[in-house]
Amino acid sequence: MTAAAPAATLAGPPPGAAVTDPRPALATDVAVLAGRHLRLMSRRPASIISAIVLPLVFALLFFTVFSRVMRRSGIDYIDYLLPAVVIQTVFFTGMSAAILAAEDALSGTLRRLRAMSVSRSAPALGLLAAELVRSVVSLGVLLAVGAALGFRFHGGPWKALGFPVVMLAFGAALVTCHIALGLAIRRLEAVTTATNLIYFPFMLLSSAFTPASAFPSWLRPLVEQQPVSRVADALRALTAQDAALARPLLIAGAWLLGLLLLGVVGATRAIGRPS
Amino acid sequence: MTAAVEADALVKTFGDIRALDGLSLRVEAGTILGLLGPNGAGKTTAINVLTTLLRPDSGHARVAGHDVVDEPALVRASIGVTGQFASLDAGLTPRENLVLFGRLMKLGRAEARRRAAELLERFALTEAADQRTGTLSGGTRRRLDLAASITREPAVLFLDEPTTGLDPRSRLALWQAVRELRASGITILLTTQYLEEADELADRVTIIDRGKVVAEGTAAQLKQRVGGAVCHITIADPTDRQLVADALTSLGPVSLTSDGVSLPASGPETLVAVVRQLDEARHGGLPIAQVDDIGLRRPTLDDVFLALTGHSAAPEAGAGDEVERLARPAAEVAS
Amino acid sequence: MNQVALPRPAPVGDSLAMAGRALKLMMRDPITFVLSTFFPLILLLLMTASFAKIVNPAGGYDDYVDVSLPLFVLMGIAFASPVTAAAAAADLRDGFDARIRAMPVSSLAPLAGRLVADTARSALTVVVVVAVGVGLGFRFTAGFWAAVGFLVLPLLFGLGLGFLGLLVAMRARDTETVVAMLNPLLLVGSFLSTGLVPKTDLPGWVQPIARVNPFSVLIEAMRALAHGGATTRPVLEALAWSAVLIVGCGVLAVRGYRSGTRPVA
Ligand SMILES: Nc1ncnc2c1ncn2[C@@H]1O[C@H](COP(=O)(O)OP(=O)(O)O)[C@@H](O)[C@H]1O
Ligand SMILES: [Mg+2]
Repeated sequence: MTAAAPAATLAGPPPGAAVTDPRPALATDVAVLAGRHLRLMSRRPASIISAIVLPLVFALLFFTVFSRVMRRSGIDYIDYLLPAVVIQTVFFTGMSAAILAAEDALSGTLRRLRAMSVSRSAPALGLLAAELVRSVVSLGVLLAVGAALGFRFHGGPWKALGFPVVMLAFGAALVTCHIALGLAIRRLEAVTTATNLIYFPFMLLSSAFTPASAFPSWLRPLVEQQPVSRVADALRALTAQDAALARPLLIAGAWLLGLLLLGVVGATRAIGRPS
Repeated sequence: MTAAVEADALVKTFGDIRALDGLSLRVEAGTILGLLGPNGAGKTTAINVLTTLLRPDSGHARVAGHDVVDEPALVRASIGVTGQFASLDAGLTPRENLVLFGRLMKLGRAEARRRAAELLERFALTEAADQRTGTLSGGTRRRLDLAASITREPAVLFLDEPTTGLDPRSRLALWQAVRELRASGITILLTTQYLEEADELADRVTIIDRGKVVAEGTAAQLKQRVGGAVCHITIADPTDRQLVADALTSLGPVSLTSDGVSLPASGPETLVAVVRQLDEARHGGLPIAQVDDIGLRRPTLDDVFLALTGHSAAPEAGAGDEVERLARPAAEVAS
Repeated sequence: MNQVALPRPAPVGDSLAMAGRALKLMMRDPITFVLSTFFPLILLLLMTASFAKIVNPAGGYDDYVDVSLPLFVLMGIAFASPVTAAAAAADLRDGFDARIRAMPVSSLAPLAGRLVADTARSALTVVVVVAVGVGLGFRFTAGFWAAVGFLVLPLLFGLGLGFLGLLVAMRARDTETVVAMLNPLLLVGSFLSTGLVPKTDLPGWVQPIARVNPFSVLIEAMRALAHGGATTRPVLEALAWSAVLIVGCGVLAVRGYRSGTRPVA
């Protein structure tokens, strides 16, 4: 110690002693951070439009444009379409999650949280929780408008209850993957591009909007097997009157579990990366 | 005395770059240490290691009595951090931002709200409290950032270039806030590129370059090494600069700068000596054409660097330079 | 005074310089550039694959490509407009335009430059989509000049939509909001048209909308130019719509732009 230190007389708190250790409490952290995201989303016109307006626009446009030709093929299109737009909405939710995750990484928020007594997984889980709440709002809007256009749960209340459960499971898996993507890429335009590159092929090369039988025969196996079609199958089994349930639910469940694992591993790796 | 922060031979590499190259430093409890260095010196990296954001390749560090590698949770519970770039939600109001931080620091809902109000008051933010943070000025946002990092009074506070990019008035306000924090007993480690700022705030200063300590002491001690003041002679023509530099070597270590030459000065008498020397040189037949200005100024980090290391602090375009460069063409057109 | 040294605004040269800047910025982000250029291709391939059989069970896949290609060309051009608009909004926000205004540069050059760059990119989109479309079964059967008209007409319409995008950008300012507002509008325009299904297959209440919707008007004109039949009237209608968009949105956008770049204080 040199004698020049002028502050020697100033009594500070003994380091460490003054600190009551705020223990990481996962549940509180997740709830607080989810609240933060929901508040920010509610103030962002783009979020509101993509959560509420865009799903409605797609539902109404597909219904309006393709109802007649679908009826000619023997399909009641609103019943067929609703699961498709629900899946599409979950994709929009995923895109939002990827962008918000990247923004938090870019703005230094994640870094800051990491230097605080906040559980390590709380930022990702908080975002996930907020996005799931958002997707429930979208679902409510879609079901209300769908009902007005003639959509019905033909399988009774129990199956109807399974519908949001499957949607949320799909949401959890897809949003987790997108959070991983956003954290891994961390460039906003590139994130948007990447999410589009996932969305278009998976959504349009699926049996979501049109039955697999409408596709050229060489594409059909791919269309039938891919996860979006499998989730659509499960959702439709839950809305139909007397479809077999176990098989579509099991297949969709297996896919979702796989996706979720992929997302969790990816997000865990990406979140630890120094910015 | 006890050390609130103690780093011993920290090394951190990024590929080929040795961002920290055996860095050691010590901050006594209740004091402010200024970590002074040019852009790229390793200041942010040092803070990242000390705040548990980065794991050092080797070396040890203790913060508030806890090891940053072995007890990161305890370290995090004892510190506050304000990063080089403000990281608050632009879409939330200052009050909401502070409540958010309070909640994350495990204050109860009501307590977080109470604390937010108290901090808004203390940092003169009540007027801006309920506007969107994104609409606030840089200085106001910085103060809010500072308030957010002491939501729960930390033992040690890390501030990474807290005033870079601020206008002079906001800078003064922030300095005042930092002084008050120190008076309340918080140990502070702040980084800066300005000797003047370290001089204003820090009890002790550690100068680093390329991840190594180049000098350590009080600001006064460091300034003494350059002689308290610098005499700068502005000369437009580069060949003339060399001539003048040669003519003045007898007065001390003369260095060439981008717009002239400088040398350590002991006071106004240095000015007299310079003028006399130049006159003599002219009479002796040296074709010195044009000296634009001669003046004394307080030494900057760059001067200390020159005196200590013999080379100037590697200039990298900072945010401020960028703005100046962008503004210039428009100004030329207007004139 | 030395008069020669004073630089003066040169509308054409300045606009081209700005167009060069806009194109360079586009190229800086090659993934986004490629994706937005090939976006209509993705739509063309995926939408026709899934809907060809449903819309026209009797015909083949190539028949559906033959009738639906104009829509995908238009969508490719239309959905570039939010991107351009967002870039323009970002420039305004960052003070780029205000700075240009303080220079001896034609004050509309930034807007004009964007549109020139955009049209160049659109031309590439048209060529790419048509080339792939021809491979999948699209045919020009009405002669060379009609085919040229087929390629040029959507570019004029694209210019109109470009101005529409700029108009929204001048109002909304925030890049995200601009995109979020334009996308639903363009989606409605492209879907409620005769591009995907014949007019008679649309619900009764939509048919009058589809009839006057500029997307349908353009699509009918492009079909006529590709496949023959009565061309004059549809082409004139398409030109009229493009002119309305260019002049109407152009005037409003320029007005909004002028007030937006006026120096404050
Ligand atoms: N994540 C990183 N990856 C690669 N290089 C880095 C990284 N962070 C810092 N550096 C490099 O380490 C050196 C020190 O950087 P930094 O600590 O940010 O300096 P300062 O904060 O003093 O300006 C610089 O050369 C910088 O380029
Ligand atoms: Mg730094």
